[in-house]
Amino acid sequence: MADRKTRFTRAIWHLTQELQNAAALDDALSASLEYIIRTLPCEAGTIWLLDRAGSRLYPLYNHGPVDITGITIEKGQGIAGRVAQSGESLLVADAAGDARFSRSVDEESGFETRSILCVPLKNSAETIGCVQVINKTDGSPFDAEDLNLCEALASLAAIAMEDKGLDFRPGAEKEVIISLRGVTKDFPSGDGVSHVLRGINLDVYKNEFVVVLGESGCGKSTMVNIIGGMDFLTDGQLTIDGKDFSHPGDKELTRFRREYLGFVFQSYNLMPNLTALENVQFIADIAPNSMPAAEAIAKVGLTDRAGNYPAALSGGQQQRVAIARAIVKRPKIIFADEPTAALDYQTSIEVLSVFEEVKRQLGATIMMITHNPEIAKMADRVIKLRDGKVSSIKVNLHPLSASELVW
Amino acid sequence: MTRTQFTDARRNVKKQLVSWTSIVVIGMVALVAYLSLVYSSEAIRHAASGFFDAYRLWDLEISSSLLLDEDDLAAVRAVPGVERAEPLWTAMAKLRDTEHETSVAVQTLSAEISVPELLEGRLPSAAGECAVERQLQKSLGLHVGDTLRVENPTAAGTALLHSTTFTVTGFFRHPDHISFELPEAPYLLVTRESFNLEGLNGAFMKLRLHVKDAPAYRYAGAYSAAVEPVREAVLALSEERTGARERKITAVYEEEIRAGQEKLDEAKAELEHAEETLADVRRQLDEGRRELHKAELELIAIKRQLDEGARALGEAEYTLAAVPPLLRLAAEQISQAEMDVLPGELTSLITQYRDGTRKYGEGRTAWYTAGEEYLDGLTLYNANLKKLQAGEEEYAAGLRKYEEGRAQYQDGLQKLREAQEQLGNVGECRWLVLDNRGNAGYVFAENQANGLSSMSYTFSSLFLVIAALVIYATVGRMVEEQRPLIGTSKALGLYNREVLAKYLFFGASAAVTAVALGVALTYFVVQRRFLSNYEPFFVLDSIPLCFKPVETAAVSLLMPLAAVVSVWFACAGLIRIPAIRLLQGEQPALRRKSSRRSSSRGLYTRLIYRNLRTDLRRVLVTIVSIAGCCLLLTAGFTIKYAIERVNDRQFGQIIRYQAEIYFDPDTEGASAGITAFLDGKGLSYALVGRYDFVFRNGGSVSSATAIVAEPETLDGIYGLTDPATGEPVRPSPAGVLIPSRMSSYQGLKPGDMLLAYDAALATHTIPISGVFTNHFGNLLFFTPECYARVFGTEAAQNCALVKLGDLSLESLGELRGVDGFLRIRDATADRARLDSLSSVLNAAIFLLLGLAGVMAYFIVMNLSVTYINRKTKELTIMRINGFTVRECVTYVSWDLVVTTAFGILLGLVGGHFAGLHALPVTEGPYMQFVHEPDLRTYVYSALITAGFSALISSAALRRVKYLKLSDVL
Repeated sequence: MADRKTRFTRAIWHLTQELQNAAALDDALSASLEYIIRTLPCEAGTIWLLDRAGSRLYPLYNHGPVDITGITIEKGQGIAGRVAQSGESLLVADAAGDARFSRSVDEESGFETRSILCVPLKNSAETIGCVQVINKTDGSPFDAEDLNLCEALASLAAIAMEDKGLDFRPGAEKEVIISLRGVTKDFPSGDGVSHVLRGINLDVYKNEFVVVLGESGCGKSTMVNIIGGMDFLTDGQLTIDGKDFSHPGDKELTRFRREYLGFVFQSYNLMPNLTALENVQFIADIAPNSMPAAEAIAKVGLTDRAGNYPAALSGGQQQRVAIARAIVKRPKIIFADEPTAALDYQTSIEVLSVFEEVKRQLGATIMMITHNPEIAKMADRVIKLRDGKVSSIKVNLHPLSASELVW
Repeated sequence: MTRTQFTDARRNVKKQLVSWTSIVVIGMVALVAYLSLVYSSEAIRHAASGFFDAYRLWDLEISSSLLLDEDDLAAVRAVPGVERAEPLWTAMAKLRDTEHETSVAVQTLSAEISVPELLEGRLPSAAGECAVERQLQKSLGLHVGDTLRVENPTAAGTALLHSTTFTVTGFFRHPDHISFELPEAPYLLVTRESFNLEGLNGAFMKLRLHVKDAPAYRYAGAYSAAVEPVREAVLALSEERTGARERKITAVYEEEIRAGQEKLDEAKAELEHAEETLADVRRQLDEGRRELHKAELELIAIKRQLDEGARALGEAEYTLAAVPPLLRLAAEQISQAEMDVLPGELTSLITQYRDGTRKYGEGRTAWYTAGEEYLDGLTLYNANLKKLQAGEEEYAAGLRKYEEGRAQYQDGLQKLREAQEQLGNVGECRWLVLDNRGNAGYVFAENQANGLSSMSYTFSSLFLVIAALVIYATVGRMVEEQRPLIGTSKALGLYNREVLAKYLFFGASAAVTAVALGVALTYFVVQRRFLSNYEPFFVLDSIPLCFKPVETAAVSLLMPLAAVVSVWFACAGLIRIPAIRLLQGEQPALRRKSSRRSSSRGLYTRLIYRNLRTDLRRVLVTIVSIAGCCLLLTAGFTIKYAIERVNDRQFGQIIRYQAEIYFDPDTEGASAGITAFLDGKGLSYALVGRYDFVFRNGGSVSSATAIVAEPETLDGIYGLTDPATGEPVRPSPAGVLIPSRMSSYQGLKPGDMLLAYDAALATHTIPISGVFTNHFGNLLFFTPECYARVFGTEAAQNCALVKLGDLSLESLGELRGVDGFLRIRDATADRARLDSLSSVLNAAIFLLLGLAGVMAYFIVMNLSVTYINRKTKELTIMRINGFTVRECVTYVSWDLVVTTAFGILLGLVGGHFAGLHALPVTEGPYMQFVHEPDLRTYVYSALITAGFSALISSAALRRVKYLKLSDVL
């Protein structure tokens, strides 16, 4: 018990410092939630914020296996809605037996809610949202002490938000282009099976810049491979632009890649025997709705080097050619795997600027894998994976431009 | 190399076992290809040499145009280096009582040189007994105890055999005849007593020698070095001995002439005396005949008088007979009248009667006397007539004797003239001194062995190159795949040599294993298989296996060396690359700054061109490898079709007749009978003279068959064309027309001279007037004029070359009833030999096909996989970007198609020349394959190579389908 108290006190102390020192409030809030979840510890958590009208709750930051990014809750509905409306904390020790809780099991992800704790985010004037945590990892129900901690932390967060002036403006409802539900991927490993993805639930929206973060081996590449049609899921469902790609045929996948996807790789992977322009033209030739290769080259600012072979280009220029190659077919989705990992800072910024432009000009959805958390700041959302699951999803309320990034 | 590095190298082998095994297999194949040819060729030489040595084949054989005698034998035995010498009586004869004429060589038993191996029964021990060579026994189905009759051969009018009927005592094989395949007369071995030793005046036909200390192995320089000085010494001796022999023969002839002349002179004197005696007898007989005739006339006159006397006596008797009745009547009348006195008339009458009676009596007596005289005269006449007839008979007998004596005299005179002529013709005595190269079996075995040896150098070097390419390709692929590993090793501080050592160990261990397996496989399996193909050609029970230590050691060193060099070439470039670059993955090699925008080629074309350019070493190795496979196939098919087409060319375009009918030109009416028969059948034919002879060109002695005919008679029978121009050629009076193979093998050309020997070993110089295309046999075409000028004798027509048309050979069976007919030979019989050879070579082609396939598999597979490995990233990117598997396969296939196409082109050209190079090696002295290119060769080689390449590449290209797209991330 003494340990718990000490942990909780230390958590409050840390959160106070985090919120006070945070350059970006949304980052501080997400860090706070993560701290709460780690301290309790529990399986999932969400920071819900009310829109300007104060009628609907939107998830600002979500930690847990279920992607609730696109979910909104009407004030007064559900646990979070009730807390936002009443401004009172709510503890449900047994979700399955509580009449206020309509579903204890998420049908899509299979996530079971056993115990739930929801505390309001209240500034000096009003309730602006709530913080919700679910299921203690040791299986025990939340108790009053947990509630106290959460309330304390929520108060700190609310104060910080008020002090720093959080400008939360949820956009229009976005159209999902990629949807993963309960996606698993198993690999044979020795005599057993290695579960690389353990049930990914994620939606990616059109014209969204998503950065996927995670430690090595967390499954981010596997997830992107599956989404990119380069690997097959073991179980679950993958829907892209409304079409089910859970178990596609090779021909179908090829057409999908041909028409929908663009890829940018860490090591550029240009055809060494083709010039920059020809590398782009090589892809343009097979795409049904491609732009002129020269235009793609122009978009990445390499017109004057279009006739050069990859060997005669710098790393950044090669990556820009790779981007041109990815965009030339006007893809709906561009995957970028550590596109700046092999580049120096300046070149990385140049390349990221190109991505920024591409998103802006072409309206493409960009899904980028990176180890660099700084790059995540320019994403619309940051998805963290851990141990084969979506660990957290953070919405960047104010994505930075590439030129603003520093590392 | 440290212990751990060695462990790593060893485990690398284990991990790359398939690649390592491929090097082992290919190295083994290359080694087997070389060693099996080397071992087999040497095994044939050793087996032949062992056979010759076991039965003590002569080292030198001397023949003389004037036979040899005891003095020659003694002189030869005295030549330094001659260990022993044996005389040999031998004569070519024809077996009678066989369905077909069979030529045999009747030969005396040898005691110590060229001893026959008795296989059944016993060797002959008395005159009239013979042992028969095994192949003759088999062909005629003979048994011990059978009787053989031979025509008695003659030489200079002397019958050579004492007896012509032989009882078979046993069967044997002879060291002179190591091969069944040679068209030589089989031997009948007899005792000396079976030869007409008396008629031969102690002379014999051949002398066979053993040379002191001649090595048992006869196909090496040491043997020639031992024999050649003795041969030269014998040749030097021949200068002396031939002169002596000439003088001896001349003396014998001169003595015979002198004795004959004396006898003739005596006979002439006797004839002249007989002639005179006969003339006297003739005169006496004519006189007697005249006297007899006169007596005959007198007798006729007497007879006539006697007949007249008889008639007068008859008349008188008749008259007298009428008187007595009258007298009795008168007496009655007188008595009646009783008259004492007789009337006058009566008295007169009685007187007349008495006178008449007396005269009659006298006449009768005279007639009887005359009759007796006549009879005496007639008796005398008859006696004289008999005497005359006896005299006439004696005269006729004497005349006959005289005529006979005269005929004998004329005969003697003729013989004398002939003897004088022979004396004039005795001319030069020449020795023909042959070493083992004069033995067809020795040369046959050598040719077979040399053929294999030559092939070993032609093909095995190719196999070695291909094996090196395989090693290069395999190790190249491996190091490409292990590029990051090499980079890591270097980054960890390993020296280049330490990294290289791992791969050198890989290649060298595979090569050493290949050597060990290859040597064992060659010795115990492949060599046996090779030799089993050759065993049927020899009388040997089996050809023992052979091991060549020097060659084995050489290739045992060469193979690992080739492996090391190949590995070095495959690794050197990569290993020199800095570690960081190796770790970064493959860097594009193209360094050109910018492309030509004005290029009119399509993107794909440019891409393929640049792919080829940037990966030039792999491309070149692929091209060379595919070229090697294609070359093997092209060379194989070139040889195959070169042989297969010989039959059609030789027996369709060159020999256009189907039957050879042999007849005896000395039998009167033989030629007319044969031609009448053929005309009756409506067949077209040519009558030619066909004679075998021996010629010498340089140091070698060869046999040939002369076809003697007027050029125009050969039209439609032989298709004689100039090998250079293809234009028809004809024999010319200026010289002989020789076959193309003889020209190339012997290095003869128009204007050169051949030194020919006739049956009496007399030498004749034959000018060569032209060359004709020929593929099989050693036919030389003479015009009758040329032949007569060269050999000094007319070539009688003894053979009809017949175009059968729709008729079969059997339809000529009635020819057996024609006087002088000897035998019919199927002119296309040699087809079977060519077919047999063709089938053996077909097996070799399949072997080459197999080898090419295996090599193609390992090389093309490795190179294709290497290529696709290199392209994996590009292909993955393409697949990720939406290229279909088919498009990706097409993309990489173009490279393979182009390299394969270049490889095939190169292989076709190389194979064409390799095949042409290999053909003369395989041909032998009497066979020339068809050297003109055959379109099928190139089509099949190209298609099979392309097929191999496509099949193997398609296996490699399957990787494209299963590319793991996520690997590129």
